[in-house]
Amino acid sequence: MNPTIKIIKYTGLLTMLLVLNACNLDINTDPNNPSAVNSAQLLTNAQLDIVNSLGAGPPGLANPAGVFAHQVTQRSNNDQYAITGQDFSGTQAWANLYRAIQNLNGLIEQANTNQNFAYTGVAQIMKAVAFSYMVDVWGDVPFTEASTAAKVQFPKFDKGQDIYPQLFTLIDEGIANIAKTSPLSPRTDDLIYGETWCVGGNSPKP
Amino acid sequence: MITNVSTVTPNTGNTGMSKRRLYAAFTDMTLGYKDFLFLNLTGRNDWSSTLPASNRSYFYYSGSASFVLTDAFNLKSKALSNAKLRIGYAKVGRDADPYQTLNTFRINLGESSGQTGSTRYNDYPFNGQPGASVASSAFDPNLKPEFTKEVEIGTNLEFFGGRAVLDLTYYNRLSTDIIARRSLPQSSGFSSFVTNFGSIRNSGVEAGLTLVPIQLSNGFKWDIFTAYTQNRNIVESLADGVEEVTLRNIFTNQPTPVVRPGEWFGVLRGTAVARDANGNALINPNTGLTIPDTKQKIIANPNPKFILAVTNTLKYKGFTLSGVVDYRHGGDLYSWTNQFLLGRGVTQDTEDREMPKVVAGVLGDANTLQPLLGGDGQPIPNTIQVLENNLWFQAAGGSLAINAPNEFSVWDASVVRLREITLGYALPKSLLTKTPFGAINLTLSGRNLWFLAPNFPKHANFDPEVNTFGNGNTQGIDFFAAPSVRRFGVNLSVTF
Repeated sequence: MNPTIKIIKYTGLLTMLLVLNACNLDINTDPNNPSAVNSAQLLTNAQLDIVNSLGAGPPGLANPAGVFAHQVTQRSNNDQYAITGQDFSGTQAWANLYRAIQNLNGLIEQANTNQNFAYTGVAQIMKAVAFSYMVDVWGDVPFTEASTAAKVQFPKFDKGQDIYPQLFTLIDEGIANIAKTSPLSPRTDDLIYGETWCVGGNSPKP
Repeated sequence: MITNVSTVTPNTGNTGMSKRRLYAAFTDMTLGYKDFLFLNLTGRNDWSSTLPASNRSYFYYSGSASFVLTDAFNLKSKALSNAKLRIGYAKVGRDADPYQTLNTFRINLGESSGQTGSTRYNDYPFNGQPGASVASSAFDPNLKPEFTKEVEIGTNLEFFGGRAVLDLTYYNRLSTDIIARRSLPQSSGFSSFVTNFGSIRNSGVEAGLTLVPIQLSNGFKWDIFTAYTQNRNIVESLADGVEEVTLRNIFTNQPTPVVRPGEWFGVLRGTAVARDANGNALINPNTGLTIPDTKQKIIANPNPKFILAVTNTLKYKGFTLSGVVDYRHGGDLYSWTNQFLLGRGVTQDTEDREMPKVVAGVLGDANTLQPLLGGDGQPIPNTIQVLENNLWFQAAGGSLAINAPNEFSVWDASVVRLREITLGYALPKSLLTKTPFGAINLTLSGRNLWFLAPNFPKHANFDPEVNTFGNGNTQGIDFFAAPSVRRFGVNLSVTF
């Protein structure tokens, strides 16, 4: 065979291989874990995380608070009115609440896109309730830059007194969103009220 | 056999599949000149599926030269039979694990999964409702390949026709843009972020010395092989503004393995005693016990400074007797085993219970963490006596073992060990000619026969070659790890 033809032939083969490669390399989507989920699952998960973080179970803030208030007795430093930043219920609640808020922020974004405003509203009110407790317990906490899907990696702390008024705005927005028509609304996936969420929106307000 | 499928508990644990695809084009060229100078060049380009499209193609290369001095300069003599020099430079690229460029959700991750980022206290479905949550780790959509550059210089010297052989290598390896998990404050929405950051330098010396002191015509041979390795792995940098990365979260008030710029990889950060400017421990004047510092410090470096191993082999006719002794110098271990042996007073180390002891240090103020000064303006050395019985365990803290600052439970894990002795016998071939067997070997072996770790409590008889967290990134922690074992074996090997 003519050597020039040979070179052309092999170069052609190589190029083809490379082109093929480029197509076949787009396989980096995780088949085990979805990159999108439905709003109902996010809501259930976030609500359960928030309730457990505030409640009296081992990862909940009501655990040390209950000891402080003499509702429960425990062999722990809480029994001497002491608590540290490393206490299990505190660190767990902190982490789980911010994860729940991440899920709520994702839920708000996705519900707005799909115009499922009932979900937006419930998520906004849940978020406001969670933050109100966080301010009560910790004082200054990250709020404006919190749970941005790690777009802000080191969120700044906001003053408790600056956060509170924003929570009322958030609740009002939530109530307004619930009032809108929404193709999908929370039903059994909402572990707290089911359908009558306007009550929920009004109760945290003074 | 499984007769009823409905009785089988389905495995819902960490099952999953992953796919990665890597294409590479590779070239390798070796040039030789007059049988004494050799040059080897390689180049390679990878295309990986685990990196984003814009960064998936990356090129790396190596070059090495070896020079046989004895041939080049005609130096060959009875004393120096071979001398060779090697020098090499290599750059190696590495891609990521699959699926680390796109954030994903976890479905129904509840308490019993035991995973980071799971809902605590409850499982899904909850009230019949499934749950979905962001994963605990966020991924970087702009991930790049990580690279390691290495320079290596070595020599190989043979004396007296191979009766003494010395192999020496120095290497210096710098890994950059390392793909790893960096912890984030949970308020960012995630507890960690997989991205490129930081650089680590590994440098060290490897030496091997073979000596054959006796080699007789009747077949008797005595071989000594000595291996020496020394590696320094220093974290050169982390991401901008990141002072420390936690390698693993250990429970409250226990040391945490971390990486910090300028420190060895995987040092332990833990609680320490407050000290004055001269390094003297501060002693509480009310108790005579130490005052804990409010800040954690780097308290241990689990990496050994060097490891030396000597293998002696004696051969005569069909018999082979071989023994390995090794010595590990340095490397710290945080040990609960020893902390509790001392704290509970169960070894002879703490037998003088009623004896008064004085903890070395100067008197300090437990609130300000400053030394108290005497009338002459000088620190006051501690003279307060404490009973041995109270020295090792204090409910309120301040002792030297249980409830003490972590730094008191760190020991230097240098250890010398008789690693192995084996005695083997191979049946002479002449006996086997009429049998169907090709070879018959019988070997008796004993492993881990003796050790001495001189820096641990004397009566604990503790072997520091243990690690609660296995062979991963987390080294130097013993949370009641299972002790090492001594093993004897008989091995019969028959070939046909």
